Amino acid sequence: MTAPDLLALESEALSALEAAPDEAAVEQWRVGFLGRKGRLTGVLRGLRDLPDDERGAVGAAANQLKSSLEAALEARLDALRVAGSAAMADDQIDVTLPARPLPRGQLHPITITRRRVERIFRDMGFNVVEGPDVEWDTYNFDRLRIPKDHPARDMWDTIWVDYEDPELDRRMLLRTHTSPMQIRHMETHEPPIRVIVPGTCYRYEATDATHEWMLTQVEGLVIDEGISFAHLKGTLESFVRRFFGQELETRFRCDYFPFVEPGAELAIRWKDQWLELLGSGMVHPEIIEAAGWDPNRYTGFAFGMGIERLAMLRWGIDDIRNFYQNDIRFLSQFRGAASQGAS
Amino acid sequence: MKVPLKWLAEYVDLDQSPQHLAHRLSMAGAEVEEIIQSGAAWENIYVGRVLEVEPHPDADRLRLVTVDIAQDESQRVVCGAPNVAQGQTIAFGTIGAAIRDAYSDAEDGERKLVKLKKAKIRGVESSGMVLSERELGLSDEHEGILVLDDALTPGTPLADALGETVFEITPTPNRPDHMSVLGIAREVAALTGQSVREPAIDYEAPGPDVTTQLAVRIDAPELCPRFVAGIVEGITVQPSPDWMQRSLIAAGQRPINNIVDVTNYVMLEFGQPLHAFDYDSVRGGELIIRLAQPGEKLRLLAGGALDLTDQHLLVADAEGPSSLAGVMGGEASEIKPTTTRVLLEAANWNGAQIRRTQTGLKLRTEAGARFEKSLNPELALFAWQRAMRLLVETGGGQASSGVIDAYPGSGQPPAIHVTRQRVEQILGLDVPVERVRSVLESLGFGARWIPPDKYVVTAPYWRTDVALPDDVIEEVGRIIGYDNLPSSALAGVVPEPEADRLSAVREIVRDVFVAAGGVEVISYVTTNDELLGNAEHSALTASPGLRLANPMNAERPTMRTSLRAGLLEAYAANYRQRNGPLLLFEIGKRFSPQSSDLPLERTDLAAVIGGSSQAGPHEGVAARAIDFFDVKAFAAAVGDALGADLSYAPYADGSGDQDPALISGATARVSHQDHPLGLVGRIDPAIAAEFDITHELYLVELSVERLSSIAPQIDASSPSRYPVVREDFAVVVGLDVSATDVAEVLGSHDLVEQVELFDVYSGDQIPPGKKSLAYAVHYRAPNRTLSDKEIGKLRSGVIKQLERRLNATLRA
Repeated sequence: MTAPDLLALESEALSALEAAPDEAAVEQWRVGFLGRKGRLTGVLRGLRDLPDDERGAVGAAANQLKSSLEAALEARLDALRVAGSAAMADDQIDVTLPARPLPRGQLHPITITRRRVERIFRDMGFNVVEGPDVEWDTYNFDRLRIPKDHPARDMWDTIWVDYEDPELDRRMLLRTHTSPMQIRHMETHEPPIRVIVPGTCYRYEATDATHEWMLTQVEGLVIDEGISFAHLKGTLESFVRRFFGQELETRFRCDYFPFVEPGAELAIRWKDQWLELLGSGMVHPEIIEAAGWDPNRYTGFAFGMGIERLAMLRWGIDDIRNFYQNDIRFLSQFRGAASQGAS
Repeated sequence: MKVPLKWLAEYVDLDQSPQHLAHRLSMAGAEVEEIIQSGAAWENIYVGRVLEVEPHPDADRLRLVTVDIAQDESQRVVCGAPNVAQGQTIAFGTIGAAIRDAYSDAEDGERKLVKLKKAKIRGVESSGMVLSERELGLSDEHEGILVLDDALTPGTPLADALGETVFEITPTPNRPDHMSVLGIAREVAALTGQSVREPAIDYEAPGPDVTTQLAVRIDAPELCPRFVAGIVEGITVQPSPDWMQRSLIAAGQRPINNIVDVTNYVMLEFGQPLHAFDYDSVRGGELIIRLAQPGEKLRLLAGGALDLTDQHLLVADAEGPSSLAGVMGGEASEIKPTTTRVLLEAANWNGAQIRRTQTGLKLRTEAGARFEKSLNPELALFAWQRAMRLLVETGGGQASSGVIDAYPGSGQPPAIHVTRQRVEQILGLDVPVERVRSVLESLGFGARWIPPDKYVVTAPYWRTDVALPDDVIEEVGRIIGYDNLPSSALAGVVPEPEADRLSAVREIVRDVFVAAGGVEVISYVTTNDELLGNAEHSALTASPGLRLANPMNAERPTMRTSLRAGLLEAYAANYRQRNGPLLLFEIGKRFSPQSSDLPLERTDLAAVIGGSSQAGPHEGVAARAIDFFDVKAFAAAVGDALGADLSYAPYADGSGDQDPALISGATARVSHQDHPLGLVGRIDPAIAAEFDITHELYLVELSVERLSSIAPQIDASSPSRYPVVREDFAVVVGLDVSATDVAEVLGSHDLVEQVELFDVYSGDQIPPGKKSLAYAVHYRAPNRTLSDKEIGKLRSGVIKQLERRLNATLRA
């Protein structure tokens, strides 16, 4: 191999490279000239067979050629890529075709609402606990100051379990409210208590657009020294503000629940109407005493609200029966609901 | 309770608008559900006077009536009412009047509204109508026309003459006083700073001493705290005066005769039910309050004979039952048109007794609804005096002198001691002494201030609900107005957060399913044996369900023992409308009965999945049916979220356990470190068909309780900086060897970083009865580059193990 041979090889290689139409051809070219068995590689390997006086000059020229071919290779690849991108830019895909869908999951609106309520109360220092759906009437009624043969029992139409315990004079039922957990929680805890209890409740009640026999409630209970009606108001007003994400007018009116005194119902002004939102009141002193605490020292408040009602107000749902019909056309409307008002 | 405002105005001045008053009452606890404007619908209806009544030329039963309604011409109409007569003041509907169609069916107590049109009746033109109570919507009375008070002026719109504004008030169970007009008047008085004008209760009593005519014996004093009685002789049974009838109609009571009307009127006025006997039908001049003897019978006023038991409390006479105490009178001693001597009773009954009787007999009366709320015995005498006065006023006759007043337990109610400090402790506001006293006194309480800190409070007799200091404090709070009380955020010690692993894991699992495309459903918790049999013989549950005594739906009397049936029903309801996959899941409780205790409530996750994978309309991408491995991915994703590699074993494990809802060959038991978690499997097409689902369907069922006991172990280290060496093994094993077994052998050395199955093959290339599993095995050391020699050693070790433990060979 001589210097003129190298010149010929260079011009052949460069014109071949120029003619390579795409990256695959360029790769083929690289293998042909610069690969392990490539022609320039062969020249470089053959150097040791050259006489000493020629070896230096040819070697230097061959190595220079290698560098220049490698540079030409990079340049050619760059040029091809630029041309390729330009070509792709002209080849427009229809971006309005539908996406190949990822499966779209969806939480139930009751879950979304329950979590929102839980989050708000957790932020206020409440624990979240749960209790049994199937209860004794002693917890559901008697110990909440709703004795047998008392007209207040009419406030909760009851679904009874076909079981009576004659020994302890108690009957099994599906809890009509989450309030029995007030008693159960007090049995195992000491003040300060700050707790909410979400759970399913059941009523023996004909269903219509605003009544469902299965419903989800959230009970609240706060007991400590120095708790007054002012805290009840402040806590629930703050809840309304946080839940609806805006300042709403609220008002409390006197109402009766046997396990609180004074009792109150909270209504909110929503779309120019006053709507009842929840029942509440100061924990009855006899209930605090029954828990073993001094009602002159400890006071508290309790409240109970319906998750369905909150969801209906927030999203304009006009019929409560939608919640448990499991119609995907209903359920899939709550897309994005978990992020609504999130911060 | 319907409270007509005209009636209410007899006791208090009503200066405020009905809307404002209703608001004040509601805020203070007497909830006005509705403000009813009776007569609002009475367009084109006027007071008229009957000028002339002539026979109809062509119909014996019809008459031609000429009516003056103070218009230019008098009106002549056809009328079929038997009681129409010249000179009467009546309600007259002109053409266009909206009246109730007397012959339509009542819906929710209301008949259809129709517009009065011009009509020709038996050849005579009639352009208007003399109206009955039913046509006016006042009552169901349609025997004849409504005859009005002659003091009314013809031509006056009927709405002005007879219209009433009525509050429909829903009393809370603790406030029987809100079931009376006077009770509401007392609220209004307290809210507006007035005093109530008490109704007159005095009366002349020139008759004989009642104790010479009647004896009363109480055999059940704990059930009858008080019994007051007296007699009016020489009374005339007749229609009650117009003012009383109007008040009763406005309050929703049908007038009957003066005697019955007086008892109803006073019940609505005072809240104390009364009963009037025909004295001459009371045998032996004696009333005995006693429990019934089994076998005794009583014919009630409402008709029907009652078989009595020893649970029923009676007012009996010398010979037998006379009335069902506190609930309903008896037929034998009822007031008859010929009655001249009336025995008037005002008693107090034990509330629980009355409630048991009403519940047991499914018989609810206005009287019972009041007595069951435990009235104060003090009320009986005042109401009785009021009724004696009205009996004489409306029926003449002579009231007996004296009174029978059996009141064994009379006594003053104890005073309630309320401290000023407690008022502040509860309301969060130090209410000035004068304010507390004026509120309480306006409500009829006695309130004495004893410095430095105490009120001595006595509740008025009509307030049976006030017994404790906090009851008094509620009175102060509600009359001041809850909206005027302060509001403040919680302060003080925040209780320690309590860990609840179960609900935390439950919510994580929810999120995993949603992220993977699951749609959450919530089903009713009730089911039945057929559904249980079809779907619920789960590996997780094996007991019959808890039975309800009064299920909402008679076809669903059982609490669910798994979530399957509800999900399958939800799936069936949705799948026909849906292209692509349908992934429904639920997390909820199942209920397993236990002897003599509440049922075990366990939280499960269940998912029913089927359909096809998602594909867009794009070229070259095809949808395919969802199969076992798509569904298994959900279980694996739950495992990942909990940091656990779950294990899957063939369902048929030789234990003989069968799940009839599943195809056991396409079902895996899911476990974690030998703790069973649930299953993933294919639902038997026959079961799916029971739910009208006709395509391939899979079930995931996991116990959230068991998932919640998985504790992720995380021990982090820096990744090795040395190169990985990848080597592929095509392992030929028997068909009974599972992929997991092979992977376990391949991965048994410390230097193996990862084992990945990339191909499964059985066919011509390998011997029959065998399969080939191709794995990529990655070797890496934490602290050096592995040499060829080390790798060679590892390889031959693995091959030896494969041969020895699985009888495996490497594919040539």
